[in-house]
Amino acid sequence: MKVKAKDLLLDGILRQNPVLKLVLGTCPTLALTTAAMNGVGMGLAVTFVLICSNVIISALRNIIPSKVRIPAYILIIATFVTILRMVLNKFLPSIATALGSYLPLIVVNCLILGRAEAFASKNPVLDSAVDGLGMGLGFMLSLTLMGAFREILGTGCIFGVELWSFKIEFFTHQAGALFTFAIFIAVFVGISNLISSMRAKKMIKEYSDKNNEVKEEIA
Amino acid sequence: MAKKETTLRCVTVLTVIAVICGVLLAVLNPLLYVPPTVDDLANNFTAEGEWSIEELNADFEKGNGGKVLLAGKLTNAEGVVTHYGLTIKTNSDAQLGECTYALYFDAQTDTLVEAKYIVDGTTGGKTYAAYGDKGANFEDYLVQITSENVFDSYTYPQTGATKTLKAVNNAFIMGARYYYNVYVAGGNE
Repeated sequence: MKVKAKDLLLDGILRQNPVLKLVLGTCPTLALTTAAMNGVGMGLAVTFVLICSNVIISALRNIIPSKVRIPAYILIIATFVTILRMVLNKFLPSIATALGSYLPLIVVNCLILGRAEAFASKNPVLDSAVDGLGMGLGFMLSLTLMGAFREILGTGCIFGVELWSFKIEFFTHQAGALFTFAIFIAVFVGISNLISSMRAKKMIKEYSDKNNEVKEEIA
Repeated sequence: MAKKETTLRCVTVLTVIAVICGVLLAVLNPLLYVPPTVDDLANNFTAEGEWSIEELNADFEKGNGGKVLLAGKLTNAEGVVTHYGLTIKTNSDAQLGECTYALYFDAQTDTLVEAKYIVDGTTGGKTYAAYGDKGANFEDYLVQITSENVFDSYTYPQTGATKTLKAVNNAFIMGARYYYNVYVAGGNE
């Protein structure tokens, strides 16, 4: 179980990163990454909804008939998003204002519905919760890094703290969002491919070493 | 028969989930409800004085455009009421979501002197940009509230082929009606 939980977490954060690998939840990614803090806020909000909806959907996976599974999932997800909105309005109104209309739009975020359909509806409760946590953290990490990148280059600040007066306003605009997204995906895929090829080379080397050992033994 | 049972099961499961979700939200709503405060009025208006609440969540039915969340008054250092302020939440309309607007009236002349949006319900950014800064804050309009229908015949800018500013217009219509009925005519609705 420990190994599986670790794998699920790593899948969400790195190997199957929802933003950079699966390219899910693109609307909030492009719209809200003008500041790193927005990425943290949106990431935490999505993580909360993902964990809660995954747990409930997984628990009810044998009860919900497959014909009505999508409306049932939407009902469950919408309930948690509404609760989240009420909590943020009550305790963190500044975050609720910063996320604006993208907060209620979490209901139709394809990442949440995608994990409900692809994972939670087929796996036990604990695994689904870990999957929700991993995917949520992966989403938050990507948004925060992209937000930090755009904030530093676009406004010369990080988390609202001014670093220098040098600014490239392009990064605060929508075109800058697409450009940043493309750079991040390219770097992520590049690093992933590099790691994969290194692993493959290592495996081939180990295999050939073993092969040589066996040959020597036979000789 | 089997098909009928499946359909019945689908409907039952969906209904049960919907009822549980509804009950959960109904229980949490009073616990997490945030009542409006005079901060919204005070933070958006420059005149000096002290704001106090006149009425919360007014039961005001005239018009169908929204709701008066809060009515407040601004009292100066001499204890004279100089302005009244209304926070109005308008219903969503087409591509406009719910908007919250603050309207300010001069208490001596019964004139709308300023209006500012607090919550922009649009998904595509600030639709009010069509007004420009002055329009969004209603700075160029000094409208005396001589009747409750004073805004009904106003023509407002359009922001595109499908987007209208009806939700925003509703704030002014609601505000004028409330102000006229409560403060000018003197009778509560």
